[in-house]
Order: sequence, then structure tokens, then C-alpha cells
Amino acid sequence: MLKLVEFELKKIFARRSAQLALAAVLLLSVLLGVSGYLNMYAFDGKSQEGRGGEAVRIDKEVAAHYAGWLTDEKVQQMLADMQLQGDLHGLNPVYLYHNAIQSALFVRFVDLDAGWNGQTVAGVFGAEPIKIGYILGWLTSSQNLVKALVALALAIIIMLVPVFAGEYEGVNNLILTSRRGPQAGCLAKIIAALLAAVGVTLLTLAVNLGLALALYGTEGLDCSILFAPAEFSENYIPCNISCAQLLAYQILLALGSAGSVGGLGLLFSALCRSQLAAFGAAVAVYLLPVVLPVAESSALFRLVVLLPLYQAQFVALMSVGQLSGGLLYAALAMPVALASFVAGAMLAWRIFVNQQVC
Amino acid sequence: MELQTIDLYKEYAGGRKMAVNGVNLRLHKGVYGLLGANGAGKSTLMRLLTNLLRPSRGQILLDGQNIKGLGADYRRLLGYLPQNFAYYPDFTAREFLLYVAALKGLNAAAAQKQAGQLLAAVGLSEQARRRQRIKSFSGGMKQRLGIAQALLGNPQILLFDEPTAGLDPTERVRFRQLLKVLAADCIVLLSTHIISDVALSAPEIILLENGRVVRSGRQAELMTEIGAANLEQVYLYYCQGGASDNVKIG
Ligand SMILES: Nc1ncnc2c1ncn2[C@@H]1O[C@H](COP(=O)(O)OP(=O)(O)OP(=O)(O)O)[C@@H](O)[C@H]1O
Ligand SMILES: [Mg+2]
Repeated sequence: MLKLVEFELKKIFARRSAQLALAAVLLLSVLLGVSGYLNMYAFDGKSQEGRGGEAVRIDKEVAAHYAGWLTDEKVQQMLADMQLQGDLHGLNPVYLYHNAIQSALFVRFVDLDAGWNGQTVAGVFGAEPIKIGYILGWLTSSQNLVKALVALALAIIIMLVPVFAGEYEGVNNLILTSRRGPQAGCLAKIIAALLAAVGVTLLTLAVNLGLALALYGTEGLDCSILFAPAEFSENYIPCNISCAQLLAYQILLALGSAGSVGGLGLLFSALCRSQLAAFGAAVAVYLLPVVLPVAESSALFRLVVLLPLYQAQFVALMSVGQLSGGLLYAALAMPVALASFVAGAMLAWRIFVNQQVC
Repeated sequence: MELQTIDLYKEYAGGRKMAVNGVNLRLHKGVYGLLGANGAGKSTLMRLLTNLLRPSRGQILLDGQNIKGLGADYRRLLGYLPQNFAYYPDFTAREFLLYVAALKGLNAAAAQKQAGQLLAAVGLSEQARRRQRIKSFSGGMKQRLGIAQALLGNPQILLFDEPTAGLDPTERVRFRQLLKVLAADCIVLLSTHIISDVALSAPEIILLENGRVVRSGRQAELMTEIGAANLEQVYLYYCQGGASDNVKIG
């Protein structure tokens, strides 16, 4: 069995299309990570201003000043420290960006004249304590990872489409007439497909998170994602979890995505005799939720959001809210992903073994 | 061991095309040449015998048991070379044989040993030693690899669909010699429309036309029966739609 799995892995990774797809995902990860870093901007409101690494340093310096639990006193102190000097010329101060902390503060605690809007910490965030610090680096990395994981899903489909469809070119004759082909041979295909999908997912996670760690360090991992700059306030996850928890969910959902996309890829691989058709069909089904007219407020959305696409595009899924015991609704995607893989793989197996070779 | 087909039919296009049309055969150890024109139904019959294709009617029995129910016990006995032998272009010949050996359930040591022996038997040892990828093989070399993979695991029922396609004269002779060795222990069914291939290596002949067996029997007897000088004349006699009118014999 081990030998068969080894052969199937070799077949998957020997294909130029698989190698190119994986290389493209890794390159995209690095490009997004590096450009995100280089595009960072920060101004401390006084004398220091910079981009890239300098911006990260300034942002961290400002954040260090206020790091810890967010209190009403701290909000007042920040408002005083970050008082604007000149006139805004009609600009809504929410859109003013000096640095990550200032932006996070202005989005929630200032009025149109950049004065205090009267909100309290409890009024904005509820009763739970909010730990603040420098989180922009990790949030940006997490957003980049979303893009990389969607690309990875397409790459996984490219990699797995030949698993069964490739055999229709003729080797199915040998597989299906051999003693162990229809059983162990096909099971080896499924195991290899899962290993390949999970393997490249782990690699993509390692590259993305490794790069983020190198660029931003471990700072902010224990801080809440809620006190975030403007770009992460609207339409972002409304739960009081730390950056580390956010990443843990993202890693878990990425692995779930590997499984559910793997199941999808295998199913169409067995269903379509042509690899191109299998790829087209699998991608269409994967991207289908984008065009589904389901509003976020509707009850159906809670189901739609469990589809494979939202395991990579995880913000919507994470925003649904909590189950009991502090567990987010997103955790439900894991059993769904597992079931998708098993269903896809078993159906593919049946279709392949019961085919009529004409 | 007896492989038997009983009233075997395979229809295509919703019954408009009878590719195999009521075939009754009994095959025992030895080499059988399945002769027929293009489209006569040779490949379809082979695929039915491998169980890759389900018959529309009729049954295939191995020692009295329907092969449908035998599953792996039947596949264990099979060696099959499809007409269009397919392979993985980036594999070497040895890797491909080891893959098929794993599918056939051979253990690692037996797989290595048999792969080496078969590569030598079909004259591909040199390509294997150089780790040449199959995609760089000539047509005949690929066909020889196809023959080798069919022989892995010492199968007792060998189904070769056009095995000599693309083989040069030396390789044809080599293949014929291989068949002689196999004939003692196996049922070998050899489909072709190249008469000289079977004339020299298949004592038993099955003539197929439009999905029907028009005549079968020992080569020598078939020839004596109609006073033919060679198998070609037998073929033309039976397989050209009443060809006796336009073919002079003897
Ligand atoms: N999948 C299919 N659908 C419809 N008709 C088919 C199919 N496969 C084969 N046929 C028809 O069945 C008949 C027998 O085909 P088969 O391939 O068995 O012939 P053959 O004797 O092997 O021919 P050749 O010598 O050219 O290989 C042909 O008329 C062919 O057109
Ligand atoms: Mg044929």
C-alpha cells in the first residue's frame, strides 16, 4: 500500500502543471508578504515618518506606548496625545491615517471634528477586556494569506484533477484489470491526494507565516483583533479573539479547505473524462458561492458560509459568531470539510471503478 | 482451467451496433489467434473478457463460475495488453513495471526481480539501465513495455490486443518465442489482423466477423477443410462475406 501511495504522489508532483501551480502560489505569497511590508506607512504625529520597515518600527513604538488593556483613561490619554494640529478641510477624521493605533482610535472614538465622540470602551466593545498592541503586521499577513489560500485551492484542483481523469487516457485499463487496482490502487490515489493537498497547504502556511514572523516578529500575537486600524474595522471579524487565535483558526480552516477542495477535485477528476473539463467544473463549483444571491443577514448564509471557498476566504465565516464555550461558528467548517473530502473521494472511487472502458 | 463465453453480446449506440454478437467460445491452455477485420469486434471481446466492459447479454465463466462474481480472484489471473497501451510519460520503464507490479500485489522483492527479468525478455534492459523515460521510447519500445507489464505476476490468462503492432521483425520473432513458453501454462488470446503473426504462433484460430465467430478450430484442420495453402486463404474464405466466390483456393 505504501508503495502505491508513493507512486501516486510521484504522479501528482511529477506533472509540470502541478509544479507550476505550486510555484505560483508560493511566489504570490512572497510577493504579497513583501509588498504588504514595503507599503506600510506610519507617522507618529510629531517628527517621525516612514515606509516599510521604518513604518513598522514607528507603529510598534507608538503601540508600545499604550500596550496593555484598553481603558477609558487610556482612550482619553490617546485622544490628548493625538490631537490634530491643523484643519481637516472637511475630511472625515475616520479616514485620516497616521499610524495603526491612531487609526484604530479615530475609527471608534472621535466625532467629525476629531474630538471625543463620547463613546466608552464598554460601549464600543462590550464588557470583555480588550488587549491592545501592534497588530497591523499580523492582520495584514492574515489578509495576504487569504489570497494565497484561494490561489492554493485552485492549485490543489490543478494538482488533483489528473488523479483519476489522467487515467482515462488509458492506464485505467491496467488499473482496473489488476488484482489490487480497483481497491488498494484507488485507495492509494485518495490517500496520496489528501497528503498532497495537506502537504502543499502546510508549505504555503509555513511560507506565509514564516515570512510574517520574520517581518513583524511575535509582537501583537496576544492582542485582540478588535482594536485595529480602519481597514480592519468595517466588514471584519467582530469577535474579541487574539491575533494568535485568529491565525489558529485560519490554519485550521486552511487545512479544512485542503480537504474539501481535495474532495471536490477528486470528484470531478473521476466524473469528467477530460482533465480540462474536470478543472473547469471543479473551479466553477468552488467559486459558485460568489454569485449566490444570499445576503449575510439571511439564515441561509450560515450554511453557504460553510462551503469550501469560505474556508480560505475566512473572514465571512469567522464573522458568523460564536457557538457555545467560546468556540466560533467557524469550527463547524471542519467536520463539513472532512465530510466533503470523504464524500468526494468515495463518489470518485465508485465512479472510477464502475466505469465501462469502451 | 477453462474460460468460456456463453451467448455473449455487446451492443453500442442503443442496440443499433452489435460489436459482439452471440459469441460462444471455450478456451483452454494454449495460444488462440483472434483474427478479424477492423471493427470485427476483437477489442470489444477482449474487454469483455477482462471485465472492463459489461456484456449486454450472456456470461463469461471461468471453470464454471461467472467472472463478475470472482472479482480479485479473477483479476489475479489476468495479464492484459490493451490495443492502445497507455503509460506515464515521465516514468522509466522499470518504474512503470514496479507500479503495475504493486497494482498486481507483488511484494517488493518479487516486483524487482520480475521487472528485471521482463525488461530483459523484451529487450529493454539497456533503456532501463540508462533510466530513460518512457516518453523518449520509440513506438515499438513502448509496445514491448506493454507486453512486459502484461506478463508481471505470472498471469494464467493472457489477453494481448494487437501485441505486435509496431514491432520490427526481430522483435516479432522474440515475441513468438515468448508465446511458445507461455503456451504451456496459460490461456493466451492474441488479437490481430496481421495473419502472419498468428500463423506462426497460434495453433488455435478464432475468426471473427461483424461480432460473430464465423469459424474456429485448429489452424491445420481449418486449412485442410477447405484445401487452403495458408491461413490467409482461410481468413479470406470465411471473413470476406462469402469470399469463396472471388477467391481462388488451392
Ligand atoms: N464505444 C463505442 N461506441 C460505439 N461503437 C463502438 C464503441 N467501441 C467500438 N464500437 C464499434 O464496435 C465495433 C467493434 O469495435 P472493436 O474496437 O471491437 O473492433 P476491432 O475488431 O478491435 O477493430 P480493430 O482491428 O480496428 O482494432 C466497431 O464497429 C466499432 O465501431
Ligand atoms: Mg481492436
